Amino acid sequence: MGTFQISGGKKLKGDIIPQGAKNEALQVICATLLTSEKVTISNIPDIRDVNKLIDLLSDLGVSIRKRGSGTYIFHADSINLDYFETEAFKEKGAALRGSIMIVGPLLARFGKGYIPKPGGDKIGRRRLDTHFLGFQKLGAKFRYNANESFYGVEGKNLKGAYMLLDEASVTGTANIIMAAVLAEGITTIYNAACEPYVQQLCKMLNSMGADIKGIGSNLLTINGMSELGGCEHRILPDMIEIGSWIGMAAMTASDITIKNVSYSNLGIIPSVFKKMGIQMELINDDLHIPAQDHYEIENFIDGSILTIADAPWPGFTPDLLSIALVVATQARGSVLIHQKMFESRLFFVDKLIDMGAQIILCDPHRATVIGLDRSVALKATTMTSPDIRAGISLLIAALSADGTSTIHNIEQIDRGYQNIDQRLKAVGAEIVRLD
Amino acid sequence: MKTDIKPLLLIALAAITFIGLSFANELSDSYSPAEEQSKMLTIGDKAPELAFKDPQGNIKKLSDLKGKIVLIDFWASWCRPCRMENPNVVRTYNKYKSAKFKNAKGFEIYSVSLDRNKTDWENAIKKDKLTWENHVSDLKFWQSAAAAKYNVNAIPATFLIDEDGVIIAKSLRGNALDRALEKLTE
Repeated sequence: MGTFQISGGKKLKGDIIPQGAKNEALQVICATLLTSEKVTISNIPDIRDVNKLIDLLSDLGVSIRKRGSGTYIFHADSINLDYFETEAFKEKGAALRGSIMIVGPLLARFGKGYIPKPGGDKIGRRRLDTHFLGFQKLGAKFRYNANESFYGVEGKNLKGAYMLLDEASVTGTANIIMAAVLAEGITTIYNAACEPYVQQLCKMLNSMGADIKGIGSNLLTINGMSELGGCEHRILPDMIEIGSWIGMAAMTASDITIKNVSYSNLGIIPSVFKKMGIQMELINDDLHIPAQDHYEIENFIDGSILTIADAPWPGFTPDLLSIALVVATQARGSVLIHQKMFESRLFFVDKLIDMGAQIILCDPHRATVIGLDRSVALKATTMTSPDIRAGISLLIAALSADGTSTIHNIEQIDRGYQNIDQRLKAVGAEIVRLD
Repeated sequence: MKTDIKPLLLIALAAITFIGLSFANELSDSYSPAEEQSKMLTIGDKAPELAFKDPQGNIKKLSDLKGKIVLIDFWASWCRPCRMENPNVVRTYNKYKSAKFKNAKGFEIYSVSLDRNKTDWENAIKKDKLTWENHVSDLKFWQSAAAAKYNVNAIPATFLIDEDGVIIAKSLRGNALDRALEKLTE
C-alpha cells in the first residue's frame, strides 16, 4: 500500500499541464475495435485503468504500437475471439469497469461480445442495464451466466431502432453508439448522455466514416454503415483534473496556470468555482488562477445559501463535488453540497472534520460547509484514501494544512492522476511517495 | 380609456426593459468571451471565419469564398486516413469545380492542415495533387487555432458550407460528399 507524505501550508506557483481525459480515453480506445484499419489516438493518459484497457485489447489480438509519449496506433485487423473463454480475460475484465465498452464494438463487428461483471470504484451501485437493454433493442440476445458472473450479447444482424434510455448513462450511451454505427438502418437514441467525452467519441466515429447527428444533444440519430475506416484522434484535457487544480490553487492561495484547458469544453465548471469566489482569467487557452488570500462564496439572488449539486452534463459533474466541498472549508461563507447522483461519496468529510473543517454531514447525500475564511488552517493528519475523488480532495486538504500529513492507499489517487507527485513537486509542493 | 393606457404601458415597458438590461449586464460580467465560443457547431450555424497563411505566406480567408459552396477539410500530411481519403477529395474537386449550382457560383475546397512541419505539408499537397488554391496551416499540430475554433479533435473532419457561409453538412467522406454536392447542382 503506497503512501504520500505531504508538508502542507506552502504556496505553490507555476504551470500545470492537465493530462488527457481518462473517461474519454476508455471510450475511444474501445472504439478502435470497430475497424480493421489503423486508428491513432494521442494524449492518452498514462494511468492504470487506461493501461489495463490497452493491455486487454492487446490480449484480444489488437496490434498496438506506441508512437511517442501518449500516442498509440491501434490496429484491430485480427481479433482473437477465443480469448473470451480464458481465465485471464475473466480476471482482467472484471478488474476494470471501462472494459464494458468493448462489448458494443465487438457485438457490432463480430456478432458477439462478453464481459465479466466489471469492477471499479466502490461508490454506490452502478448497474449495466442501460447497456444491455440498448443492445437488445438493436436485436441482440442477452446472455447472463449467474455462476460465473458473465454478461454476454450475441446477434449477427443488428438493426437500427428507436430507444429511450432509462438513464442518461455515459458509458451506456457510448456502448450503444458503438454498436449502432455498424447496425443496419437508423438508430435513434433519446435521453442520450451528451457530455464532451461522448461528443468526442461521436466526432471520432464520424471521422472514421460513421454518420452520427445530434452530437452534443440528448437525441442522437445514427445512420448505420457497413464498415468504418481509420482516423487520427486527440483526447481532450481532463476536466476533472482541471477542476481539481482550480480548487488546489484556491485552497493553497497559490498562483497557478493550467495550460491548454480546452475552455469551450469545460461547460459549467469554471462558473461553479467562480461562484465560490475564485478568480480566474483565460489567457489564450490557459486558465490562470491568481493567488488569493480570501475567496467569498456568493449567495443566491434572494440571499439564501448557495447549493452546489451534481447533475448529468451540462450540469456540474459529480466527480468535482468533493473538490468543491474541500475548497468551501476555507472560503468566506457557507454552502450546501448536495450529491444527488451517488451515495456514500461524502463520508470522507469525517476526515476533514478531524482536520478542523466545519462541516455538518446532514445525510448520505448532503453536507453543509461553513467556511473558516482562513482564520485557522486545517490541521495535518493521517488518513486513508477511500476512492479516487475523495483521495484527491484529501490531498488538496493536506497541501493546505499546517504540518505534515500522511495519506495511505494512494493507489486510489494514482488510478486517476498520472504522475501526480512529480507534477505537484514541479509547482513547489512538498510531497514524498513512500512504498 | 384606450389613450390612457398607452402611456402607462410604455412606462411599464421601459421599466421592464431597464430591469432586464441591468440584469443582463450583471450576468454578462461573469461570462468571459470564451464561453460564447463554446457553442458546438451544428448544421445551420454560420461557419466561423478562418484566416490563416498558405505555404507562400499569404493570408487566405474563408470569407473570401462567399457565394460558393465550400468544403472545409481538416487534414494533415501525417494523418494516414486523411491521405487515403485525398484521392476521393481530388476526384470530387475535379468533378464539381466547374459545375453549375442552383444558387452558388461554384465549388471550392478550403484545406486546413494540422501539420507542424512545412516541408511535409507542401510535399503532401504536391504528392496527393491537391491542386486547389486554398491551403492553410499555422503549423501548430493539434494546437491549431483553426481546429480549436471548429472544435476538431479527430481528423479527417469536413464541413460543407453553402453560398451564405452556413454549415449544411459535416463529416462527409467517400460517396456521401458526392451525393451532398449532387443535390446542390442544377
